Amino acid sequence: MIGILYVFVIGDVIMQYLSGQEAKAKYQENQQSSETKYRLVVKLHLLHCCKYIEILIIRLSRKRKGVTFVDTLMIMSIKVLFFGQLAEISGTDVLETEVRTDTAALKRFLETEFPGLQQMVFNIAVNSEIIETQAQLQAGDTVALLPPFSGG
Amino acid sequence: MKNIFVKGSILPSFIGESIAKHQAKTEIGAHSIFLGQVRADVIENRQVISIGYTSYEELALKKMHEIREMMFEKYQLTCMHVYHSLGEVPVGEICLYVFTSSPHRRAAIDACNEIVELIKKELPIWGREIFSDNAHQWKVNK
Repeated sequence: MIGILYVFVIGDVIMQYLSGQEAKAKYQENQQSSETKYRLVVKLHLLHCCKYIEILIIRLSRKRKGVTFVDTLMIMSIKVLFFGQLAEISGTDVLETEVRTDTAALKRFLETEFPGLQQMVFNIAVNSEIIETQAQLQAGDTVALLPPFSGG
Repeated sequence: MKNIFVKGSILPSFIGESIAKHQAKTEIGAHSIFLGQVRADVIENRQVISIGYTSYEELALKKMHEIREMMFEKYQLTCMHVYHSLGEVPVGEICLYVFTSSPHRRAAIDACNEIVELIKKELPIWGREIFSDNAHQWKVNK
């Protein structure tokens, strides 16, 4: 019972946290002086180790339930792409995150995770289609955040 | 789908060559060409030295394809070519090249103008104005 709870809730939550932290650390790595850079590199490696241990635990727990190894690879996630100034605010070009019901819920999550997004104006595209008001999301979707265009 | 993206600036020699390539298409009576060049803007006492372009390429190519279909339906065009730079383009160099051809001039001229406006409005491309002190600012299209 505890095993199932761990696998489906806590395990995935920890993975999302670690992925987010890794993305932040990677971004910060490029911004700092060489001394703090060293500390950030160590932090990055520690996060990497944590992620691998986490994946091992999740896979071992799921294996005990009779779920195949292939199933463990299909993590319920969506990809979020950040463009223009939004990439600077989030510190990353791409973020893998847990699937949300719809784009409004995703937007709320991202604005909490990256408060700088709250002041920004942007359109949202789901699987390369700009959406008008909002759209339902499912695992495997790619959501892109598009600030005002400035090509040409 | 045609790829419109070019890494770095668009060279004058490339533009000249594409004109030469249309020599054999003898039904053409007019070409209209638009070139976008990076301007040395001065913003709050800082000089722009280049613009760095990024794009959501998949969506940009999809939209460009739609624009292309729309233009061929609306105007009697023989040819239409669009090239946009990605990456850094220094001041004075070309970042956008639109080339339309038609039997009579009206179609080529009008289509070229409309395409430029649509590109600036519809394509998911972003420009980062880079200053001489390495600071940058995100371009805003007017």
